[in-house]
Amino acid sequence: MEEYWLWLCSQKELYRRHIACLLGRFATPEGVFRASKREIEKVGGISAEQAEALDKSRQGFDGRESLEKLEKQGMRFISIAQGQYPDRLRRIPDPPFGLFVKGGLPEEGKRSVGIVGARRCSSYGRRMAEKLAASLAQCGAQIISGMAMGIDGYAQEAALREGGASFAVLGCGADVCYPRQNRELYGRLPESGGVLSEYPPGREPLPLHFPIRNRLISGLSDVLLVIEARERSGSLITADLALEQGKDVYALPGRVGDPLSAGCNYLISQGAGIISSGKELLESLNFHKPNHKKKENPKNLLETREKVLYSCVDLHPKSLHEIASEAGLPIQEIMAALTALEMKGIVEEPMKNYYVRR
Amino acid sequence: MFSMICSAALCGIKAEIIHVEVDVGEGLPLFLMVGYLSSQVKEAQERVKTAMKNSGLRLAPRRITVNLSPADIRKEGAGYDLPIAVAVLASYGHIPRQALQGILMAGELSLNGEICPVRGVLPMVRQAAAAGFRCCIVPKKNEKEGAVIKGIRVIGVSTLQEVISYLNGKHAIEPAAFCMEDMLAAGKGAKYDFREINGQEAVKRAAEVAVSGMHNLLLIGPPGSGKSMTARCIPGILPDLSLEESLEISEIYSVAGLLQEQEPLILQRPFRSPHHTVSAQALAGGGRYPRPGELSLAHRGVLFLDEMPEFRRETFEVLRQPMEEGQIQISRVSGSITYPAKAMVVAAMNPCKCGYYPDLGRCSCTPGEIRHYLGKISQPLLDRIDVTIEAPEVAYGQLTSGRRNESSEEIRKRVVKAHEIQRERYEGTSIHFNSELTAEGIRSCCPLGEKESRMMEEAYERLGLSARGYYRILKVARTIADLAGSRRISCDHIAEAVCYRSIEKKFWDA
Repeated sequence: MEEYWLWLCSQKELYRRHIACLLGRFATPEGVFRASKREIEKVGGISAEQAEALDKSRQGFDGRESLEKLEKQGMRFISIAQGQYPDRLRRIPDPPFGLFVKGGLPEEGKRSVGIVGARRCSSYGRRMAEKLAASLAQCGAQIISGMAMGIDGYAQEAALREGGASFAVLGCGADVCYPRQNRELYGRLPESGGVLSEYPPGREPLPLHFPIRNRLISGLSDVLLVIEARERSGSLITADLALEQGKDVYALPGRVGDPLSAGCNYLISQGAGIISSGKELLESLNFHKPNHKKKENPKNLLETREKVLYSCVDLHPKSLHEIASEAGLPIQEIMAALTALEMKGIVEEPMKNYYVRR
Repeated sequence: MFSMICSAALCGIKAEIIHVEVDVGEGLPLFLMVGYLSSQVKEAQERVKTAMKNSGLRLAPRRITVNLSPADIRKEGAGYDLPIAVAVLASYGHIPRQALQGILMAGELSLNGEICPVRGVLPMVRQAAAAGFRCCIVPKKNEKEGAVIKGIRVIGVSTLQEVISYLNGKHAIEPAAFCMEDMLAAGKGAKYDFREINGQEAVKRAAEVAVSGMHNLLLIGPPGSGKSMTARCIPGILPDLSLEESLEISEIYSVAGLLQEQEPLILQRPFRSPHHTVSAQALAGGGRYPRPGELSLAHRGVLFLDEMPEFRRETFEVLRQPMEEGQIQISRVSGSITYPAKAMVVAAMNPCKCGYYPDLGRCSCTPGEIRHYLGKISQPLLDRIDVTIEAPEVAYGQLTSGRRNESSEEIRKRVVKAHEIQRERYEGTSIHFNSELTAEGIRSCCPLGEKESRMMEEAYERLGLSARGYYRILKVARTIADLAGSRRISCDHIAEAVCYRSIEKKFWDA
């Protein structure tokens, strides 16, 4: 049975709705496999080319061989008929009929939190995404995201750094690393989490795949956090899907007029939860941080000059010149003090001569 | 009858004495020229014959042989017209041959007998003075340029007729006069002053540090943030040119044919700003008949490369070696020549294609575009830039603030002091400035205390420095310490130097 599911879900020409049409007519994937080409052509929503391709692919199809080939690539196939298929996905209106998985699947008993956001994010967004993902991971939550550049990738990396589990849902085959810049993350995810996709191996990352894939990110999550999103961005699509699926959506507020926060602020105005602090978020999600260590206020360790500069730096990157005009010290002293703060690890330089609090 | 006069050929910025020999004898009327001549020189015979005719001289048809010796130097240019004409006339007996002794001449003839200016008069006269000539005859328009050299009479002439009567002693010409002191006094004061730049304290400070150690400088900032203006101000904070330096620069300009008649000596540090479409040859020098390139023209001054990522990669590749050695060697079949090229390189670039990154509200570049833009910068060139600073957009408040800005003069005083310290330290070595320090030199000249070494170690690990970056920071820290008049490099000096470290890929990793 599973081989027929694999055969049907491996068809590059067929998206979920096509498979749904076929199953509507022939009831099981085996039924589709055994149906004549004539019959397939007659099914509504299936084009002659698709029928042709289907017909061709079943000639010489060997189910066991295909499963072995998948295994060699380090992947598994899980159809909706199997017991280990995620329950969370069964509950969404349009679950995929099969999943290609590298690594593991999200555990049913554990809470999972989706974190999504802009690819081109600010360092404020990056910082917050990493912070939230890290503390959620410490509390044992699994982080679901899309392994995209920017927020997605930063959140997942932070979760892995904390030893937590993270799962990426891709808009291409699970064996394709997209974007390529996240190679390292892609390599580490299967060990402490997983990479999954409803698209067959080798499928290219086409733009139309991503909005469809977003329903799986929200579907696999119990709560969705939107960190930074522009207006009309993919993250807002994910948020909409999450609401349709009945999930809670939280958004990170930003400054009015900041295009990167426009989407988040819109979500908040529409009633999304506000992420006012990491601690509060954990509380409202009923998470308890294990043996919470009280962090020493970093300011206590600083020299006077450094204290002045530390108070000039905030969560948004500021240029050396802005800081200089606020601090009113000679420029060489400012540079020396900022570097000292950077080495103490409480200030970061995300861009050349721009500084931000850690 | 045989006669001989001296002229000069240019090899790089040096002149070589050339003997122009003419023999007029019996035989079929013929004008024969030998001596490894380029076609420009061979064409001289038509100009010479016609100019003589139009100067009212009728020569009997004879066999005229011209030789330019030594024969192993390639002769180029039209500067041999005048010596050839004079030597021919001497052979015909129109000019007494002994009058030609101890005289060096150069000049191009036009068909009506006028004498046109030529390139490289300054190095020619310098060489003539060194070789013990008593007099140089040069085109009128080049006489001021020649008069810069002391200890030799420089006679400016405008027609062939005038030369003949001068050499026959019928007509005296006053040697060109030139008062060096007047020129030097008039040349003081740079055109652009740091006083005119409001705000931008960090950029000014970075420029001061860079100039103090002759480090190359990179400015990164959005359009209109005053990067070019800053670069233009930099020659003004370099120490005043010494006479020797001034002559050296003037020679390069003389060879390139860029000396102005009114201003025979370059008195201000040059500022060259080639457009980014410049070819490798134009930048480094070269061509079929080699000429100095932009880097040599910026000798002892500033070479400003605006829009650095837009330059073609090959263009930069030719700069690498000259930047290291301070001179450019150009090899041709006819021999190789050397141009001096000790310039401070100041480069400027936008942080991304549209110029506004990291202001995400205005920047319209995708991460891919930003990476592509940065990928265009040549890494080897980046490795030769010690000081990098971000030039921000000027805020309105800074534009209108009435705060008095420091003038270039005040900055220069500190720079001069730092240069003095370095001169003392590097006495007797081949190094002049901190930027030239090698890894070996850094170990001996930049000793670190315990606290400072710990700081460098921390910086190395925390900031992910490369070995190259490590040495660059030490070199710059040495300069900052020199500026502060401190023998020891302190933590503050290192911390400031860290601030100037090169752009790293991580800065654009958004």
